[in-house]
Amino acid sequence: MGWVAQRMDSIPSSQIRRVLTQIVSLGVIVTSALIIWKGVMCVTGSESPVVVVLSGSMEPGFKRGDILFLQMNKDPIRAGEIVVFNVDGREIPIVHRVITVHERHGTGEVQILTKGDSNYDDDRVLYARGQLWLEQHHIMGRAVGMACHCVPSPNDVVQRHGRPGGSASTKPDAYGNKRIAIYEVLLVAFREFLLHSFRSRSLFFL
Amino acid sequence: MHSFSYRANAVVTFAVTILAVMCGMASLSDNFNSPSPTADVKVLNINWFQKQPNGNDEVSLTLNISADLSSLFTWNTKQVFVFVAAEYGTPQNALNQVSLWDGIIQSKEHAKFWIHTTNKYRFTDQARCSMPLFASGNNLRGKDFNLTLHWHIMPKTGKMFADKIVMTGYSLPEEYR
Repeated sequence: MGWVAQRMDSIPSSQIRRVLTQIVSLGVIVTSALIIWKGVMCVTGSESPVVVVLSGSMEPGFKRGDILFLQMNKDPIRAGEIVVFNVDGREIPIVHRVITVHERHGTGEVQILTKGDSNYDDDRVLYARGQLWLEQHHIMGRAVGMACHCVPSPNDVVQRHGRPGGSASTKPDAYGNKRIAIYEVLLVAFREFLLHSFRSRSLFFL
Repeated sequence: MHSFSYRANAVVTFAVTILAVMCGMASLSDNFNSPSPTADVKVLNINWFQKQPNGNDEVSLTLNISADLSSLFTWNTKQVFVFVAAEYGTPQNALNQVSLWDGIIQSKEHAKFWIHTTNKYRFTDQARCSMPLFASGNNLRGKDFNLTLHWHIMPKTGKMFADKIVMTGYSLPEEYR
C-alpha cells in the first residue's frame, strides 16, 4: 500500500484533477446530448424525430439535403400525409406520401399505398416481394415540419452563365467554365460525403 | 480564449441559434394567415366500369376540377400539393380513400385553376386474399362516394398544414359498363 501512496504523491495532483475534470465534462456533454435526444424521441413518439432527405423522389417539395421533423401518434393514417416507413429488407427508411387507405371496421387496421410526389409509379416496386400494402406497424412517423435546405446542391450555389433563351454563354470564357466545373465537383463531393455519413449513422437516416 | 477555433466556435453557434429562431418565427407567421379556398369537382363521365381478373372492381372517370387556392399562399410557402380522393365505405372497410388525381402548385398565380382530366390513378377497390372470393371486391356497384379535395401546404421552413373540402353526392352506376 505504501508504494501506491508514493506513486500518487509523485504525480502533481493538479494534473490529475485537470485530466479528471476534462473526462467528467466530456461525459456530462455526451450524457446530456443523449438525454435531450431520448427526450425528443419520447415527446414526438417517433423512433427518429429528425431525418435527412437523401433522394429526390419528393421534389420539388423536399429536395435532397432537407431536414424533416417527424411525429407519431395513435391517430389513424389518412390519405395525403407524408409518412416515413421501413420496408423489410431495406435498411434505409423512405419518406413518401400516402395515396390510398383502406381501413377495416372494428380493428382499425389499415392497408396503405404510398407514392413519391415526383415518381411516376406508386411504391409497390419498393415494397418487399409479394407485399402489396403497408400496414400501421411499418410506419415510423409522419412529417410535420421541415427545416432549411441545409445541404445545398451545386445548382443552388454556382451561378451558371447564360442569357435568357440560350443554354450556354455566348462568349465562352474558358477559365470561368473550368473554375465553375471545379467548384461543382468539390461541392458535389462534399455534399455526397455529408449525405453518405448521414446514411451510415443510425441517428440521421432516410 | 482568443484563439481562432474559440472564436469560430462562438460565431458558428450564434449563427445557428439565430437561424433556428428565424425559422421558428417564419413558421409562426403562417398561423396568421386565414385561408378561404374554394373548390368544385364534377364527374363528367363514367368512362368504363369493369371487374378486373383479380376480383376487384375498377372504374375510370372523367373529372372537371376547378379550385381557387390562392388564399393559402404566404411568403413562407414553397408549394401546395393538391389531390382529389374518393372516399367511401364498404361492408369490410370502415373507410377507403383512393387518390384519383394530384398536382403541385408552385406559385400563387397558378393557384386558381381549372382542369379537365381522367383519373390519374386507378380507382379500384381492394380484394382481400384471406376472404372468400365471392365476398370481396364487388363493392363498387351502385356505391355512393364523396370526393374530397385535399391540400397540403409545404413551407419553405416550418410546420406543414393540411386541410380538405368534402363534396358529397356522387355515385357509381349499378351495372358494369
